[in-house]
Amino acid sequence: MPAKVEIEQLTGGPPGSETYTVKTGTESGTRYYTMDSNLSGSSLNPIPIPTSDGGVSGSYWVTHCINVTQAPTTEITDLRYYQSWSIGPKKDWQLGSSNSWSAGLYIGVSSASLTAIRGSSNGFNSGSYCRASGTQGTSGYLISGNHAYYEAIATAMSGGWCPIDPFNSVTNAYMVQKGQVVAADTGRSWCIVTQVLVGSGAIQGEKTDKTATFVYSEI
Amino acid sequence: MSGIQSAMVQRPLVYLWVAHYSNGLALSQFDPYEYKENSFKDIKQSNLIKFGLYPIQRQLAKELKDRDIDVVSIPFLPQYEINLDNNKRLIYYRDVFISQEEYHRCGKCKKEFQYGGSSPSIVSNTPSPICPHCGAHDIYVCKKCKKEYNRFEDATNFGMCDCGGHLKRLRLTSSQYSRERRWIDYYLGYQMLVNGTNHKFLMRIHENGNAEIL
Repeated sequence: MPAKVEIEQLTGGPPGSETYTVKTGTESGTRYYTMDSNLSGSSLNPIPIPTSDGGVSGSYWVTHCINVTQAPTTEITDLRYYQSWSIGPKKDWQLGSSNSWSAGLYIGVSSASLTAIRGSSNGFNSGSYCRASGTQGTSGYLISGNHAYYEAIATAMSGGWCPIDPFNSVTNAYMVQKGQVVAADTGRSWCIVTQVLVGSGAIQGEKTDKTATFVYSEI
Repeated sequence: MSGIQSAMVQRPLVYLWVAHYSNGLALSQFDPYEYKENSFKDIKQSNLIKFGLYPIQRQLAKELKDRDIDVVSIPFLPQYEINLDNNKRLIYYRDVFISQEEYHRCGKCKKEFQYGGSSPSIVSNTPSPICPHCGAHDIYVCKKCKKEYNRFEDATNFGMCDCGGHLKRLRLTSSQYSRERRWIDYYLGYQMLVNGTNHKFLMRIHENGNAEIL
């Protein structure tokens, strides 16, 4: 039968004891907080705008995967992910001035090559899950240098994380897991981790609505 | 709320495949007698002469749904077929999309709207979207005398009401909610070697029956 699939967010921990929350229906949205939370609509712990010129505040990173709860007839392959930016996170959401070079949406990657980011696996299996942390209400730790899985890659290949632009359709999506995700079986995919960085000069208040999309191939 | 889809974990199929063999037999995605699904890898590629995607007939859809297989019968959808021979290798798969979409819901007129890059918002130190249906936006209300202020900075008494009361933000348009949307694109085509070079022909078929050559 065609597969049944849910999006899940991973929070808590330590690794191996993480919580999987199904993100579906009206509780499907992801919000970037300065806390490790699976809530979709809380106004608690937003990301403060840094007061010092060139300063950066990060959200806690957010981890997602898909869970195949009913097996496909043959297999599921090539899990990808994209968001609906018209220009890019930094400009669309006015996340910071030019001095805040690093404002934007960041994503854990396994390569510094954009071609490889779109064509090779960049996610990690749940055994490498790393709980988001930081100073609650102030700033999250950056993926770079703090997420154990990507930190190891960064050391080896100068990768680890990067802003992706463009990143707004299935043709320029981020490849979470290349090849077979599950055969005719149930199970979870590899995970993707994202984080928002806000720079000085960012415009406070309501940000435009965005859509995050997972895509997989099935036969 | 209007327009909200119920949660789902599976997008219904609107097309099923049928593999046609050179001996006149065919293998259908769903067995027409037992209604079990055949695997794509059970297709004998070397004997294929045609492969097609067909809308699901009403009676078959009923039988499948009775067996908890989520399909929809849309008989007027166009069917797509490709002829194959030993030089052409079949390509078929479905891309399944799961989107998490953000929306706003106006607290005044109760209608939903999407707040995009060109959507208007009130010019303020604390901007909020302007509802495209009724023009509402977030306002500030005095907790003491209930006087309303369009913007926080309009309360010129050091951010307090003229009566000395504190202001409370009434979030009429800045509250977001999310919902999930799913859809499927069907890919059908073949690849073949011409003078040692691999050539691919592929088309994308949408759930509404429209198709495009890639």
